[in-house]
Amino acid sequence: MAKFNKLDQSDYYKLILRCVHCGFCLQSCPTYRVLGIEADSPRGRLYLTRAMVDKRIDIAKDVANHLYKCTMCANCEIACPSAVKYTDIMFITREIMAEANAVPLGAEQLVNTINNAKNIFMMDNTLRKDWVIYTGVEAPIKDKADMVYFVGCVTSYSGRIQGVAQAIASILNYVGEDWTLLKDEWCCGHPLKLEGATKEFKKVAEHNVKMIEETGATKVVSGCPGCCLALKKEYPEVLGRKLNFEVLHFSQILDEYIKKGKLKIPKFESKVTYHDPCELGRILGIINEPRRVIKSISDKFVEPIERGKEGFCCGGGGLLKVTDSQLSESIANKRLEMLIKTGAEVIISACPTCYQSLADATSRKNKALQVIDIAELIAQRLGLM
Amino acid sequence: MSNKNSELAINRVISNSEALTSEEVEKFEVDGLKPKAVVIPKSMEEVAEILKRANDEGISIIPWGGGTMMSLGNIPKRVDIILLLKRLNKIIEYLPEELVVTAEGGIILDELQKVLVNKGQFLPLDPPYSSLATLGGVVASNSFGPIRHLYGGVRDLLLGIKVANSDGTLTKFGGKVVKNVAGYDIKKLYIGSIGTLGVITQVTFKLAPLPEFEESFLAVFNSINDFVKAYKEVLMVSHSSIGIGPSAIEGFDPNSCEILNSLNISKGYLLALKVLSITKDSMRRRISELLEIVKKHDSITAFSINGSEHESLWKKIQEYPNLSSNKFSIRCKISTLISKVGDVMDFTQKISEKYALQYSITAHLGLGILYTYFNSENPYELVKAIEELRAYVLSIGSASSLVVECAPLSVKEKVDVWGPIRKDFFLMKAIKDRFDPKGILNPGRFIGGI
Amino acid sequence: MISDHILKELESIVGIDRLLRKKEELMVYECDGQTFFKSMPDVVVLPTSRDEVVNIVNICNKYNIPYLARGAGTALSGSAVPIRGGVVIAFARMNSILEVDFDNQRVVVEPYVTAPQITAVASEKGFFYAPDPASYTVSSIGGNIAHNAGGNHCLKYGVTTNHVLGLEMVLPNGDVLELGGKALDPPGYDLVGLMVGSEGTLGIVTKAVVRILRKPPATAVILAIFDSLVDASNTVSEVIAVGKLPAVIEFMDKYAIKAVESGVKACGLPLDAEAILLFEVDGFEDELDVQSEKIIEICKKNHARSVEMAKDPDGMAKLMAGRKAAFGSMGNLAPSYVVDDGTIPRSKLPEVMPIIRKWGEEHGFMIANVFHAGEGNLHPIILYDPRVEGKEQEALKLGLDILKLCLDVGGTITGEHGVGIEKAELMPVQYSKDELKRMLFIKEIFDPKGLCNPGKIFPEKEVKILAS
Repeated sequence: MAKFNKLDQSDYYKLILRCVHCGFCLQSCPTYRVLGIEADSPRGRLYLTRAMVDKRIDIAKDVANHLYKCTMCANCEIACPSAVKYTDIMFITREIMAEANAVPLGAEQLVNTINNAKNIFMMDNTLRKDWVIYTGVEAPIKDKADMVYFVGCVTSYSGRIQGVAQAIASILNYVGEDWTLLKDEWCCGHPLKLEGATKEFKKVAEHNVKMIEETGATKVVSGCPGCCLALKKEYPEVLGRKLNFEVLHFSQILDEYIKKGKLKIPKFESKVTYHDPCELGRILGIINEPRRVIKSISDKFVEPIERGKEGFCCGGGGLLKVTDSQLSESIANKRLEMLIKTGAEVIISACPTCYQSLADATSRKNKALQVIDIAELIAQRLGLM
Repeated sequence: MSNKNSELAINRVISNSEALTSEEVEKFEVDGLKPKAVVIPKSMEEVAEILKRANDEGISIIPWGGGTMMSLGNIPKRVDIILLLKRLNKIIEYLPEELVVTAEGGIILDELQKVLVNKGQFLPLDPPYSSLATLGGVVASNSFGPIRHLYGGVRDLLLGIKVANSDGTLTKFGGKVVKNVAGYDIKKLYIGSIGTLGVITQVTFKLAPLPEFEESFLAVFNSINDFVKAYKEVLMVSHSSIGIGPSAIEGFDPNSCEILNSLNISKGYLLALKVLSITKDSMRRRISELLEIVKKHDSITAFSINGSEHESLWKKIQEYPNLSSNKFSIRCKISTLISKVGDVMDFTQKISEKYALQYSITAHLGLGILYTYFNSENPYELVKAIEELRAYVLSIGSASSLVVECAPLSVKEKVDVWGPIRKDFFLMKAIKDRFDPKGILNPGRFIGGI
Repeated sequence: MISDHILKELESIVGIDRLLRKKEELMVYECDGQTFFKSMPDVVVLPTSRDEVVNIVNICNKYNIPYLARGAGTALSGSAVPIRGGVVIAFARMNSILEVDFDNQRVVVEPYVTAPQITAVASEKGFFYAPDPASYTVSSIGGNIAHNAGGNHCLKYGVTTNHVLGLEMVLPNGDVLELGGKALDPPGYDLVGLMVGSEGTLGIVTKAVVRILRKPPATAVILAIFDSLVDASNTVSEVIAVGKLPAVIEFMDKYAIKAVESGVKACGLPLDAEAILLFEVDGFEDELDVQSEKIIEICKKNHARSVEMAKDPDGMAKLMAGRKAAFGSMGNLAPSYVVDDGTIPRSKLPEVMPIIRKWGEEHGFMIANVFHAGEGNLHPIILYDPRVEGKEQEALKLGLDILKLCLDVGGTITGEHGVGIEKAELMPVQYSKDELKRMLFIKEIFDPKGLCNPGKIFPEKEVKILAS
């Protein structure tokens, strides 16, 4: 089971033992901050993991409920003075849980959905590109191209987020990139990895890599940090080889365009703030690029508390939306409050999931606040949509 | 107990200990009650032995340090033996590199300071009567002065205590290290308990380095409103850490500002700060910053003084209760919110006018503690004034209180000097009952008749 | 075991969502920051109000069920371990700041608020909350109060008891008491002072009034490197004696340096040094140099190999980096450790430090020292591998021996971590029977049924002897 991470049983145990139970992670954890329940904290989940390995408790769904009640935001790793590799441990633990069929129902269903439909929504995967029709943007599908735009499930299928795809496509067109969509894009598989379904994840990775490499593209761009993380870090790991293309988040591309003077964007007058997506900021380390983009068009940029490497999760990460949607919403509400405190009128994000979580939280709160993706904002300022 | 029996019992308690002659005993009294004997133990063990015998015989014991705070408390139920602690005056351990001193409870504060100052250190407590007050007495009465503002009070400075108990044991709580959380912090109970739980025979205190530079900053205001606005702003910008902050922020009403008589300035509401600094230059900067604030609030005069003038001024401020004792028969300590000090001053003036009392007010502004002094020919008016003032103070809430620290018998007979008990009193009573089951220590003088 | 009808009663107070009773939910409450002492509660409840706490305590009283209050569970002495099972009252949901009163320089909080949260609201007008134990980013004020927590800056600013002025508490009989408040010196015995540091054995704090102080305008950090333990120890005493009271004096010995330098947080400390000292001075900008110069002079006089100073945030952070990373880096040397907490008179450091080193070597343990030297508060970290049979017990025993050494030189068995379960057996060493008896009087007065966090501070045997 642990071959996946090239860790034998004792290495895995060693990783767990590094946790000295100090509890310094507690306040960094979104689920603990909302619930205050030890089993739903990083320290608690590690304790339960160790208890399973030590055979003090069974590998069972009841335990899984806590292990999967985690957004895998990795904020605890920043807080940890002992450098415990929490997410590494959790990925292995979740593999063990999956193998033992001890996974929460929602997560199990999601794996089946992706296996069958190749997307997370149980939609017909051939309709994946329908957003092109709905938005009316030009989006090429070529045999060969310099750049692949990997759209991702949420952006492809979720009504209001399709605007992000529209924005990215229109900006790529605007600067004249030689780019293409994939002929048959599958879910990036990140949710499979989160569930512990390694075999299935590997299959998806093989497919998507094959699709990309066929185009000969040297760059893959995505507006979704989850997809970026899968393509950039998780695929090489699971496939055991280096990939022949560079993976970039669209905010990096925007930063590059602005640096090179390819985009002249009119200033934006509203007071804005930025929410760091966990996978983008903390895990991939892309913190300055989106800020440079925003500052290039706004003089009224305000930072929220708990940002950058210490960014607080929107609640949409991990598989929390399917394992405990109510908790996911509570975390989003909490994050929204911090963002509201900045006094900003517009919240900018760079992740379709964050976008969704925060926009939903905003509408629950009846706040006349605008949540917008960084690509959309730029495309709008350029008059492209 | 018949007189004869009681005399025998007292003699048994005294046993071989040194006692004053009956002539000398005449000089002692507590709220007009004369003791039957005054005993002078030479060691902590002797204190403990006397207590044990007193306990066996049911004889009451009143510990007496410098005698400067003996006015504090309700009229005792009984005064049998006064225990004079002046012989317990040794310094047990003083290592300057520890910044800590341990001494017997009967040592006089100023005497101790003389030793510490030689090493550039001091015990940062400046209660009134420091030339007479003993360390044990300072703890038992929770005495302090203006510099509590920066350095904290007894509860912040006391590291350890050794107490003789009514069962004849000696017990030690805390220690000589600055951090200690082993078991319950029992030493806190003795602070301000006026000897009702045990006789304090030894104390260990945290010390402080002497400040590098010190000056007085003084500002006088015509109206109480300006004064209040000014002190609130000064408090807001004043640092409260050693080396940075002013060590005292004091307030005086036009009656108490007579302490400035020698400086020949007009009467008014006086704001007085003891300003500390580490360099001469930064002292000038601090003074000018203060000047700016008080000018903004229409001070009629503001200036700084240093050197011997500065020192003698603060001696006067520290000794104000002493200086005023001929003029005023009543002293009340009012603890309240920092922000309400001005209101309490105002109310005190009104009530004094209403009952035609002579009065004067001083305040530790940053602590929210005021002292109001009264005098009148008519004890009934005094009682009424105290009761109204107390009702006002209690109405502020947030644990505000008024304690009558000094009053003639005629007033004490009608007023509980501690004020009403709170809901937590039953715990205090239970503590007293367990620590001094026969109630021989200072019976009746503390809160709720303890 | 708690019967179903009692659980139903508890459930009627907190609801099903805030009552935990499954094994995997309870197991994680079996220990606090340390993991040697373990005992599972029968049930965990998460109240959101004082009244709920009162109702919970009343039920425990009615059915004679032991209970204890738990904050963040970061204590290191086992004080939050439900050693007799029963109810754990977890305060995580009571985390509101109730009032920020700048005029009176007080903040009123619920027990699960953390120190940085208080400082965050206080800093709006330039104030801060002073006590900063190592765990302060996560530990709760309620827990800080229970342990009278210290921290780096207590040399200058004092410990928790100096900053807590009022408490609302639920007494074991269910009474709600207001002790103290925003005003100072309430008449009567100082029950607030008694509650602080009582390790949750006298009742449950549901609200606290704390003091906030004005933030010092500027700080500087000095790092001095020594080739001898004794030189570094002497420096500490001398700095204190000259009257330039730094806000912080921290000590790291060679094993602590090794731990940091062999991990991801290595920051370039010399591996051949015997010890380093870190000082922090604060004050007005133009006064920092005067203070620092004297300290640097003393370091040099005591043969410091090098002395560095920084006043800018980045530079200070760089010098502090090693100290910050020290505890967390212990995993680089061994998978587990026991950390002790004895305090000694500061002048005894030159005598005690080499003894600790020697004892470690004799028993085959690496003992790293990272501690608050300014207060003489030692934190010897005895490193061991728990998978080696008997090592854990041996490490614990060595720890207790070191604490006895602290007592021998005039110190105490715990400076800030508390007695808990771990050090209870040393209480009769530090205190006489008469002294312990008086502490037990207090326990009996507050908690006559002995249900409130039982089995802590006092060794069982002693309690029985003294009670008879």
